[in-house]
Amino acid sequence: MESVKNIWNRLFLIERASISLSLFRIAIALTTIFYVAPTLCHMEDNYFSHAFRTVDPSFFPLGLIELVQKSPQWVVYLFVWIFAVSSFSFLIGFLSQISCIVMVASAYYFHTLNSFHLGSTLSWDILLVALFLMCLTAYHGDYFSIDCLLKGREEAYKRRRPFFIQRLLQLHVGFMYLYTSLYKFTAEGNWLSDNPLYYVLNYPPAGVTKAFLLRDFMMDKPELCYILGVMIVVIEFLMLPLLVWRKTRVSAIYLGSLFQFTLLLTLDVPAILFLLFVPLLFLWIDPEHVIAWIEQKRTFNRSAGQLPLIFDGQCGFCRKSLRIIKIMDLYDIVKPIDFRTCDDLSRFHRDLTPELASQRVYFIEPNGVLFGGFHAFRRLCFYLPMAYPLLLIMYFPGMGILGPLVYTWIARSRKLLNKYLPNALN
Amino acid sequence: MFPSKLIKNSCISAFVICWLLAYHYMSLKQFYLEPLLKKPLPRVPMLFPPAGWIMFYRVDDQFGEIQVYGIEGAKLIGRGRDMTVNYSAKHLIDQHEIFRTRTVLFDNIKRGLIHGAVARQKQFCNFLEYRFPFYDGFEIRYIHYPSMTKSPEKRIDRVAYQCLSKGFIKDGIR
Repeated sequence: MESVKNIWNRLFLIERASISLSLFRIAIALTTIFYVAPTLCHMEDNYFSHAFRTVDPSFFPLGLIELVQKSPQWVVYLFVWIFAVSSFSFLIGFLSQISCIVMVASAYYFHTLNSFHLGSTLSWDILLVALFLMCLTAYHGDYFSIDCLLKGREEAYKRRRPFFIQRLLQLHVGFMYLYTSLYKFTAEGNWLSDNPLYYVLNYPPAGVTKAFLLRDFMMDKPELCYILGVMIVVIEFLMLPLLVWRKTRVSAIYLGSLFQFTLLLTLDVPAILFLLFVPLLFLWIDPEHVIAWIEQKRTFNRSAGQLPLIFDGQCGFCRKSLRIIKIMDLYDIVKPIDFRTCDDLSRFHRDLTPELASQRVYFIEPNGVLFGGFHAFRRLCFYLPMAYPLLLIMYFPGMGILGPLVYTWIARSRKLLNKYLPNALN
Repeated sequence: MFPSKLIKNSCISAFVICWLLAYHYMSLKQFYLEPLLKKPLPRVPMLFPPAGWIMFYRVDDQFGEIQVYGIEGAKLIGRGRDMTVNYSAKHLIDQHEIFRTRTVLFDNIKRGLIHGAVARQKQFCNFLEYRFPFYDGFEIRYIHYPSMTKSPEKRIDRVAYQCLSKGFIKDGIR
């Protein structure tokens, strides 16, 4: 009894770092956006009076279908906005759990309104199951999120949470492989009794098969196709045990990713199978290993010499901003230096003086180049994984002129802006 | 263990058990449990696929393809149930122009999206008329390949149905 309890505890209840779920949040948010957003580009075709609409009574209760079908046009538009705001909010991790729930609810609304595009593939169900689990807790907002910046916890990346959500997502992908293979050779599946791969390769151009490199070579070799088909079934069947066993886990993740990539290259199947399956497979990596790897990098960077960021310690806004930067600094690369407590600034850079440092923030790169103000923040983005997406904005054409102007405005209004930053950052 | 932690763990355990039961029940329901018990079983609504995870589980040697034509110069021939539409010209319509929603990283038309639409004849005809108001009507053809590997050249091409636009019925039949 005790051993069963221990196993159960280790499987679902034990607390482990939630950083993998935080990364998975980004992947699943993008997948949902890629799936739902295209249907919103042609509202008249998909959701309004002239739309080609189907409903799915095998999936939704009839009462709900009837209610949603009565939606006037403004309600549909309202849900478009709700989806747009909530999905972006979920992507950046702002009010992570609430935005996830709202995004899923709005996606369900569009699915109920018209199942023709959204509900026509199994990949949508795969996504919904994963999204449902993500709605249950806020663990996915622990890192790589606005939430973690607002909470001000410097070591948010290694926050520990009950493991059950990640475990159920792991099992979701594992069992999907198992059931997919099971159906291929039992029930009505014909992958052992016939040669489905051979047929797929011989589909006419209107079919689902893409014109990939080896297609012509393989399409007249039924024996080879049969062997490959059997291999696919065997690999899918073994995927769960291969993922469970530690020694084969990494190979299974590679194999599964390669399998999904091959699917993407050869067949016109929904890209969710690639966009979601691969991140789901990566959830099998033990988060403790991820944290150990990060800690190793942090220790190395601390010993190798961190990069100084010179700031004004008497400025409350600057201190809070520094806190945010340190939360984003996953690899502990940046070393904040308060110029007011520093005896000799010239040891960091010969041009640096207290007068200059009182005017704006300075950042010194490993090659000794000094960056100030907006340019300091722009260069910092290269070193902070959470700030990588900001590079797109920071290096957008025209930002070289606009950026310093914005920086000057923020610097002038810092006392006012300080009030809007949460006190947790103090 | 603190009581709050005990309550939390109990809740998590209860959820995990319910989830796993529902997950495997819905994965096995249609193809294993229902044939075994010989009766339809209730489903868990709004989450799991009704037929389980059956991706590409059965692929046969035959293949079906839909073609949609816009027709011009339509004339009605015959009477009653034998009535057919004759026309002076027809144009094959690209299915990407019928359903304009583009999917990311794959072609939903090649995935067979239109097969789900043609079965709903009235609705599909109305939609075609909305998309292509300049045609007198439409002809939906079904091309069947009985065996793609043994006789790839053999194709059975038949008209699934024809439909006239409401504008043509109003103005064209005089």
